[in-house]
Amino acid sequence: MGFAERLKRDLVQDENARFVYINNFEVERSWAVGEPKLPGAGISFASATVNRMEEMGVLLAESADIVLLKAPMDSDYAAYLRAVDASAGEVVAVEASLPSRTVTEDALESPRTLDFLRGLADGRTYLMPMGISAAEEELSQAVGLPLAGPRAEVCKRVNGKIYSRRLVDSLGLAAVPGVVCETVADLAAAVEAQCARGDRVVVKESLGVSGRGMVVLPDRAAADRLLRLIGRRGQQTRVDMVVESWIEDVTDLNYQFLVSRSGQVRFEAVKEAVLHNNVHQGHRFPVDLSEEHLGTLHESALLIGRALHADGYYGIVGVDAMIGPDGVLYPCLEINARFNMSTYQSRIAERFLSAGRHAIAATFNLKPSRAHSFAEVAAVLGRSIFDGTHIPGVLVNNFATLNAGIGPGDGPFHGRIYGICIAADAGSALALRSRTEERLRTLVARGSS
Amino acid sequence: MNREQIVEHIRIALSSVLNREIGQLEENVRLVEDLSLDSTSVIELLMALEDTMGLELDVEDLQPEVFQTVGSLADYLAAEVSGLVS
Repeated sequence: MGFAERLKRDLVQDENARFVYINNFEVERSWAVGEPKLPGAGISFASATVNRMEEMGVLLAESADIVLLKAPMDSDYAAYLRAVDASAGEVVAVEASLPSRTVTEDALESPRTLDFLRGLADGRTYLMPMGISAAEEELSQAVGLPLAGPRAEVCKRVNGKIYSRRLVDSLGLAAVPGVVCETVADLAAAVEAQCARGDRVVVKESLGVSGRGMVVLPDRAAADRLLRLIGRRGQQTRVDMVVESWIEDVTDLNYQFLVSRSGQVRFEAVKEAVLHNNVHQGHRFPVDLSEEHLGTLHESALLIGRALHADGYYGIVGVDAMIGPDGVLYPCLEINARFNMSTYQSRIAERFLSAGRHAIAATFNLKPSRAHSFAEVAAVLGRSIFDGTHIPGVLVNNFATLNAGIGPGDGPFHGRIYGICIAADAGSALALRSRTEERLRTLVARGSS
Repeated sequence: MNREQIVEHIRIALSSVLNREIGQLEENVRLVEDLSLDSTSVIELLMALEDTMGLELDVEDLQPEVFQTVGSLADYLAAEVSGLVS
């Protein structure tokens, strides 16, 4: 049974159900509305590129499934994915898309799409969002298709960093030194205490977007500056943040498991962040962990999964963990009770990552000066592009993000391509990543000349 | 404090926050697209600007437009300096 079938069986008790995948990336933004933030962190930068990550869902859907997109795919990219058997579902694009909106928000403003979705109601078709917020509940109501997950209120609650910090403490899992802060006064005391230990300090918003909504305070002066800014709110004002020691030279891990509607917990996968010369290269899989560490992750998944189910959650869970320089495994830094990057790689991993193969899931950050077609990307990658069989090869698993950030004026913009570099061993996968990055940079540099 | 001095403060603060020396800074340079400022760096930039300029900024209601270019940030800081914005 493949990943998508397991997902359906565990969430709606029917492995032959039809899912409409709605990949509302950075659903955390919705959960964070009205919640306390770090000073200045309320400034949200253009989300156009993040919103186009919804295209990754194309690689998750099975043939009976539907993937809702913000715009039609580049036809050469769609043909490529079909040709290598990396995509199978039906792709439907909304008719009213704005770059700043998630695909859910677009769908809610697209009458034809709403009618199409209404027409799917057959008792075994479900909306399967990346994460469930108020907008996905509204869409479910509007089209009469049930959500394959719990209520938005539950999802928001269990995704807070305060929730995961308290859960780690109550489960007795190894925790990074730190404390939950509900008020400005708590925050000041916690930062003082961490500074007194001589540690670098990280302050995280409970409901910040993963990897953002946080600030690292390298020294006492920085801590004082933050406390000065935030102190203006008044000592008893709510802040809802977590203060922790910032540990250097760690190995970052991410593991994924599935909590079924009935409370069973199924471990899915673990990935490891790859650093080369201290620069993040992506996530590798499979990973080479000790039996002891792997055992701890499985055990932690079981404990966390059961606790989440007891609190009303079922669905995919991604957990960030790390191994400190002293070899200590911290099995839960953050719970992401929603789809995560690993989820979108699940079907690819099953199809193309047989024994003896290694992969690095990479993000290629580029600075194009004009839009580029997939045909150009495929041409510059040449024989390096994955053909479905031969390795080494890079499988492009998100193309729309390359051109999504294009602005109204001239000048370069930030674009990204996501790719899975598949090779016979970890070193070859890393080498393929480097070659791919070099070629893509050459392509966009040529485009600007 | 004149415009040139404000842009110089921005240059120093950005060099510190982005952890690399930034040379001559034109007002049309875009903070996100050209310098790769991200939302996490914004907090640090604000903290650094308060320190170097001796200002107390109202950071709670800042709009993203302020951070479009060096020029737009300089406009905001100039208004703060002159007391036009409370």
